[in-house]
Amino acid sequence: MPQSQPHTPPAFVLPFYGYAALSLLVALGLLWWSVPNLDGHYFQPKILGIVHLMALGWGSMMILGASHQLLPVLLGKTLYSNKLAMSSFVLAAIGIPMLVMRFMQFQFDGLALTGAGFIILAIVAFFINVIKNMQQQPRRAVHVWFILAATIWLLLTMLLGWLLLYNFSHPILPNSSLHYLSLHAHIGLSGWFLLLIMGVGSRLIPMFLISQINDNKTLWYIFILMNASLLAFTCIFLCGVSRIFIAIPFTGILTSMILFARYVRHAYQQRVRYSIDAPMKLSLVSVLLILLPSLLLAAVLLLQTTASTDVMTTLVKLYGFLLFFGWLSTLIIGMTFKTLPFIVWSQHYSKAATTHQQINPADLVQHRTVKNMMLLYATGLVLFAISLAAQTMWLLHMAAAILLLAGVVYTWLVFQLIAHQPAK
Amino acid sequence: MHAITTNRPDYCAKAVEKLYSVLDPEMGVSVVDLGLIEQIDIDVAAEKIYCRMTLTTAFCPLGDAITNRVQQALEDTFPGFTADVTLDFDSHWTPDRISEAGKTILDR
Repeated sequence: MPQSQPHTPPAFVLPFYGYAALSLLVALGLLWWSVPNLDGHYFQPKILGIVHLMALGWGSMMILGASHQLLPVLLGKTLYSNKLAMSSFVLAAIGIPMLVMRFMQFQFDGLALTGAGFIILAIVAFFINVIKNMQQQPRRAVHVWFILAATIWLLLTMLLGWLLLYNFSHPILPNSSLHYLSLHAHIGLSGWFLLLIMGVGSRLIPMFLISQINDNKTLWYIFILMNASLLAFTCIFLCGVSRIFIAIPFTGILTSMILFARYVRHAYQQRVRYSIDAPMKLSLVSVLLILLPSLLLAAVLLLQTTASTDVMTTLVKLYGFLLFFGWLSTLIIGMTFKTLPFIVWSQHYSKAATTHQQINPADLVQHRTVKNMMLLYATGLVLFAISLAAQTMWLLHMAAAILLLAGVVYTWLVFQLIAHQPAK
Repeated sequence: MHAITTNRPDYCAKAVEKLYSVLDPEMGVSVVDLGLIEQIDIDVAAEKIYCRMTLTTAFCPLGDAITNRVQQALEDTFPGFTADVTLDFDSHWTPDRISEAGKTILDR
């Protein structure tokens, strides 16, 4: 037998994908159900539940699954512990519904704290796997440092979240929990999602485009700028310095995003493969989609002292929607149909050297259905954003229904792939 | 075109001909056209084939599948021989190694 390449067995990765797909479906269902409540303030039970289901059940579970698969590829070493990977899944799978359900009931009690505790333990398990895996390989690619730093930011986000929950019933922090929401949300969004997506994307995008870009210097600049900006943001927030200084970390993070977009453009220009499939196109478009919420955030920062409460509430809701359902979801949906077929294919066909010679990962995907699902999702996304801005309720209902339909098709496609069996 | 080193050009030609049918599962281009095969040495007396190859990306997730296919193709070409396929990432793969035929497929 030829020497084996380091990889994580699919049985330890696929549960993350399945769970994430179901979470998206439930979140879209809840969004549709919550439309009548969307004209109020953003800090309300349903929005709180949906946001956490999207951030943890959908985004984080999918990214954790993909990271468990990608770590051996980045380090050239088999994952330190498959048991830790499974523990990470089980703990998060138990904790997320506990937390989300209590949020939906607006109860910040022991059950919510226990749920959040399970999720923290899940992240700790992943963190140990990353650290131990890194110790096995002295030659560490820059991408691995992104994963490590992002995991630390996620841990900090979750620990702060747990403290905020506790602070609701037993005040221990100098201010109310609402005061810290912005810090909790932004170290999670930028420190975990953005940093990790940049690190993983800078490896996956050139790999799928067959691009020979080797610009580690830019990636290191992005890494340092992102972390320095996040540290600066945390310090400004906690030290009570005037909010005007938040423009400094905001500019740092925006510069990182521009550098990353430039890196992706170079990878695209230097690609060997000319034709690009729909999932890859969607992933590339999502890199640009981050600009929309960034512009909205800039507007929020600029208008916070002059705009009316109604305008600010709408801007913040639009910002949150475009981040989770726009940028993050389109990226994950695109990458699902690039990474999942590989995982399923390697499970069934990589050892069968001759029998299934003609079956390739792309053959497992129903391309036309995937493309139609993506178009449906994009239509729902645009309509929802417009109707949220205009506060047109009938259009919001319709847009949410379209998004839900796209979610049903997406989940069906994911489970079809997971359940795939070779023809006899 | 990327040159393959060998100790037995006669056997190697037959092996390479067969390896044109081993496609990269992601790109649909043969391992020969991609320039992944570095060296094919044959020990006729011991009935052994030693194949050294690389991948477009180090630790590519499809690495096992590709090396399994190469091993199977070589053993099918020379019945009774065992093939030993090793991966070598010391010499980095670059797109310059792709043959004109391979580029034509990728340009589609």
